Amino acid sequence: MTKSNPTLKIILYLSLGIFLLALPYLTDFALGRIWVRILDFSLLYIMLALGLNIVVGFAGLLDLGFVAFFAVGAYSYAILGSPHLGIHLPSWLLLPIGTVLAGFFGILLGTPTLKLRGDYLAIVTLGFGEIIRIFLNNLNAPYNITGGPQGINLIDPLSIGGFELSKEVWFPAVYNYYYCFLLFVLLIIFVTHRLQYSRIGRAWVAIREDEIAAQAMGINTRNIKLLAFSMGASFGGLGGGLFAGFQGFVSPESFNLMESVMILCMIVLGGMGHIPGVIFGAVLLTVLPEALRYLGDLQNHVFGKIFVDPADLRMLVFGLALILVMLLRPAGLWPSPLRKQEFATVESGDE
Amino acid sequence: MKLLEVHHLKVHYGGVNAVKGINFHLHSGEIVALVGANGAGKSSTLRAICKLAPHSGKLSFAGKDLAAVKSHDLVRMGIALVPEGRGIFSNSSVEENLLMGAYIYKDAQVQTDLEKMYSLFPRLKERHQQAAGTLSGGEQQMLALGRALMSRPKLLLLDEPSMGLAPLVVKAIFDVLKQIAAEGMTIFLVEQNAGLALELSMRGYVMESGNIVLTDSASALLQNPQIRAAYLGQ
Repeated sequence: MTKSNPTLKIILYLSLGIFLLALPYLTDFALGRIWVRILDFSLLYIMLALGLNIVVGFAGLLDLGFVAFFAVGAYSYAILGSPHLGIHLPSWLLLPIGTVLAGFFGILLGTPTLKLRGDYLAIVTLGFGEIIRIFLNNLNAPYNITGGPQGINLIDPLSIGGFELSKEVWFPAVYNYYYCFLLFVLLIIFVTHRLQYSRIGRAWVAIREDEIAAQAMGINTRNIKLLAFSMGASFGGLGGGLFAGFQGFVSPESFNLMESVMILCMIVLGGMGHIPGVIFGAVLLTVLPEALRYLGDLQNHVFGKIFVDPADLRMLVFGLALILVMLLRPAGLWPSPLRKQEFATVESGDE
Repeated sequence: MKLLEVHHLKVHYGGVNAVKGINFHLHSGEIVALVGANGAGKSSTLRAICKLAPHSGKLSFAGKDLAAVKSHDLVRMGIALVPEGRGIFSNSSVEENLLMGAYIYKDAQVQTDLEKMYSLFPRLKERHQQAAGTLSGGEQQMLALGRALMSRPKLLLLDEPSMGLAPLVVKAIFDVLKQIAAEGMTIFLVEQNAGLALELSMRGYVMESGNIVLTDSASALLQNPQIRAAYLGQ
């Protein structure tokens, strides 16, 4: 740890704060309103990635069904806050309900999978994610709970003390959501950071590295693992609630396997277990696929016509970028210093 | 006082009986070695004591029956394990590894213990910020030992501390063990390297295919022609 100048630190944080506050204006001015919306989504994905990071990055439990918790949060918000069942609970109640419910589902997934690791755990969690999605798809008969494949429409927008974020008052609605999400992201970063350097955080890492040794240290591996699952899931649930209130519409399609894979990619690409890396990965993987939509315009500009359909080219370039990053920076784009060390050295020791 | 008492311990993995009903004990302050060839059941015995292997029989520690005790509660009772293959947390720093050893204590109490470990293992102090996985094998073994000591155990269980290490490094580790033993620690040492283990110990048990076949004072075992032929290559 370098002990840097405290005034320098204050200036740094202050300018970062101003930058974050000004970001929607800058983005709107430079790239257009649609990009502020993409910014909002980046913030949502940061929450999800930080949630999954607790499970995968800290505790080392490979979870391929994380989107299920996102879905639980989103649907609990949608069902209890829309004309669908005629229930309209306020946002300040809906968000905690989604968070707690997702946390409970986290324990539900964690309990039967305590003895599993690696590939085996990945397969079970993948199944869990699909089960949730299929339930959402089919719970429209005999009682219509989830709206089936059509999903749920006209969800109440997020509101704070009677003020609906979807209304344009001082700023456009997307700005409102940006500031609201930013607040939640900062909260989650704070909680995650505190957790990481607590005894619980160290216990998670110990379980990831060597479960038997962790037990020998006196760690109750069952409880600590369940805590990781429910903690990560609850972040996902919070993100889901915000998503539902933001989008105003949810359907099972938004919660497919690809979403889980993307969130996992954000963590791996950014730097597993390292909070700034995970945030960076989440922003990059939200923005990059959107930015690659401009490949068509680029071709038009350079060659005067479109050679390859940008929709095809987009995923191709995206996949290629992922492969290149993993080849050139196997520990992620912004790994923690310790992890970088580990990857830099060839297996040492004399075994 | 008998600190650890093992009565009719059996370990079985499916149909395989790794340990076939053994009895042994450790007095407080004693250093006892369990020696034997590969596959004799030494590590299984240790794993059973730590509740990490399926077993039957009676285990008691400081007069308390261990039947209902969970693996992760042992360290609170005063039993620390240095696992086979060290089991260090390789992506964590050296210091974080040591702090993990003191998981059962609040952080404020731990600082003096940390200083003590650094004076016992100066190499670890030099490398306290480094990822544990980048240490050499010998340093990793020292770290595993230091980490176990951080829990201030009454009984230290060591599983093959000499495994895969150069003779000079092994000697350094055994020197530290001697130092710890001189301070009154009770040590149960499981080793293939019978000569080294018995030199350090007061008593020894010899294990062969799941049974204890011989027990005596360490010096007597070292003189025993059978042992010399079978384990010391003389």
